[in-house]
Amino acid sequence: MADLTITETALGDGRVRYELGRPNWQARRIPDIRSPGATVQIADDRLIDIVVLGDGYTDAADFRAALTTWLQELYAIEVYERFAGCLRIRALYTPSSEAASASRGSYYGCPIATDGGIDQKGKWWEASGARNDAFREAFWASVDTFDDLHLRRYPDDLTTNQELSSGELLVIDQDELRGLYRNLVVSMLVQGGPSGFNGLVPRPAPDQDHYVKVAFGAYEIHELSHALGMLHDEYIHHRTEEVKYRDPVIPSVFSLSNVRFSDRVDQVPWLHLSPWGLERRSAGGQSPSPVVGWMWLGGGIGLLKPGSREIGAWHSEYRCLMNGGHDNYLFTQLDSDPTNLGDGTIKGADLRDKTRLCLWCQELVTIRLLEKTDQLIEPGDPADITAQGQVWYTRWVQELRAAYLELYDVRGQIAELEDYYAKFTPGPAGEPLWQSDLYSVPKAAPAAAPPPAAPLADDELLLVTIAAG
Amino acid sequence: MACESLAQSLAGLEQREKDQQDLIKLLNGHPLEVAKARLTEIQREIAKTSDDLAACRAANLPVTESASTVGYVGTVEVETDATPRLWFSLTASAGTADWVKIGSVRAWFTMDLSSTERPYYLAMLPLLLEAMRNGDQVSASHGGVAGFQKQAPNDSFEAIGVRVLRAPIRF
Repeated sequence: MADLTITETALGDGRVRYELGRPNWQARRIPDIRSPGATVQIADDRLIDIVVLGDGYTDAADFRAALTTWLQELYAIEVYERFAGCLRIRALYTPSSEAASASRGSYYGCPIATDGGIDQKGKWWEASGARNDAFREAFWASVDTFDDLHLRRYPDDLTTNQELSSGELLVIDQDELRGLYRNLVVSMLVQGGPSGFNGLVPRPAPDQDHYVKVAFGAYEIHELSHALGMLHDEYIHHRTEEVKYRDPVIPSVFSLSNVRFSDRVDQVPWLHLSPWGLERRSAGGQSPSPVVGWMWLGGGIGLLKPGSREIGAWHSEYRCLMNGGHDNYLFTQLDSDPTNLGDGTIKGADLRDKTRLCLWCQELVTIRLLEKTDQLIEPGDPADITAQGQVWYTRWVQELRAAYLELYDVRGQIAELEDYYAKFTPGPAGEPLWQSDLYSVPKAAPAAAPPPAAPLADDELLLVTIAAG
Repeated sequence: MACESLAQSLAGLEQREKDQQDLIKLLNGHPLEVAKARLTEIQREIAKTSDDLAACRAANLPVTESASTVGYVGTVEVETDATPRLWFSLTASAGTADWVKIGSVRAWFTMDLSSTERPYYLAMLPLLLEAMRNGDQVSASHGGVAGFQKQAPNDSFEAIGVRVLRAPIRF
């Protein structure tokens, strides 16, 4: 059980600094992925700094209450609780004279849109303009209040990209990694906003090529998981449109995603979680078919990216912290789905599980945390960061994953989840989830066309004769 | 094969590095400087080849072993329509009609009798028939969903192999 203590220190000008769950991270101990059951102490400069800021808060008590909720929701997610020892969480309250609004009069000036959510238009957090510059100045001044942050960045020669056809995109583009702070993320709580998003905030010149991932938010742990775990949205954002994304050709811990754009059996990285994986499972007759680890329809990728659509994107489970509502179907792509309101409008099914990441996301976040804390590296590994990412993924699959599976009792988790989903009856007439058309089974890899058939040879005739006997 | 070739190159370079280090011990003056420069060049090649090998192995990493499904042989069929095929289907328990599903539909496993793999497929046939007669449990290994169907979309899987266990032994 993670410690939920929050301590505070008053600074000047009404500011208050907080430490969240310090007993969790002060000893810097995390599970030893090479020795299940044991822990290992990570180096001090490999702690991952999470800085929580707040905009639009006029009362420190409100901000502290938000921190309390945030911390509880963070540790409700198993991977964050297990690896609490590497997450150094601190927060800073800066009083706003008014709530966040379209006029941007709050302390940081996060703009609020007409729907009440944080405005995302124009990517203001990274765009030019005096008001945006002021946001970044205030933002970085607050972040740098913590003068011992670990400011290691991903190197500028980190390469994840490949040759793409016109219009094609990668979910994790190398340009989003190069210069990004590796052991620092920021959560920006914005009071009152009903939706959130993730953005890359650059430092002011001359360090404008130094970025931090920021979870701007409403439901912050979902947004934090974008920033910390490099995870993407799993909901359908636009029905009936085709994605333009492609999977990385060479697997690497730096480019691997929770959303996949090929459903070929040899290209699905979570097949070990599927019914064909480490827990082989099937069902007969009308018994509930297993559904964990198949190809579930959709992947929002990110509202801010083009091609954030439905067709040609898959994720690994029906529900997950990284799912949401938007244009999700509940049971079927047919018109009979309960999400079609009958008047041509849609009320997307909420498939977000605020208590857990799906098993593939859980594994990916574990990999990300191990990467950031230097737990994947071994003597003799290549010096080049790109090659390291590839070697570490190979090592994960061939060596370390087994310990991960044991650490989390993934077999037990699979059994619990299959039992949980077997009871789901989301169809319009109460049909069970396994009858849904929202998932599919991985497709066969293409095979060469067979040469012309030859007559049966003598030994083949003998086999047929034996079989007939 | 590309990875094996790189691995062989790396082994050759490492041997050359060792030979060069031995040679350096015997030299002095200008020949020593030349030999040292050559050693540096070899070590640079080792580093590059090592990185290339790591990338190659990562790129060729098998994602998974073949899929497999366990059950009892409930039917064996042969058809000679467009493509001559041998089909079989499994039940979840012996002596019942609770057909094993993959996804939401009953799964059919098939072998293309016009393929050059036909002798191996025919070798599976006696196993399937014996398992069906005896009520033995089988494990069929197979690929992903094939591009054709038997009775319903996404119901067909090319079989790769069959294993049989004598009752009451189970997989």
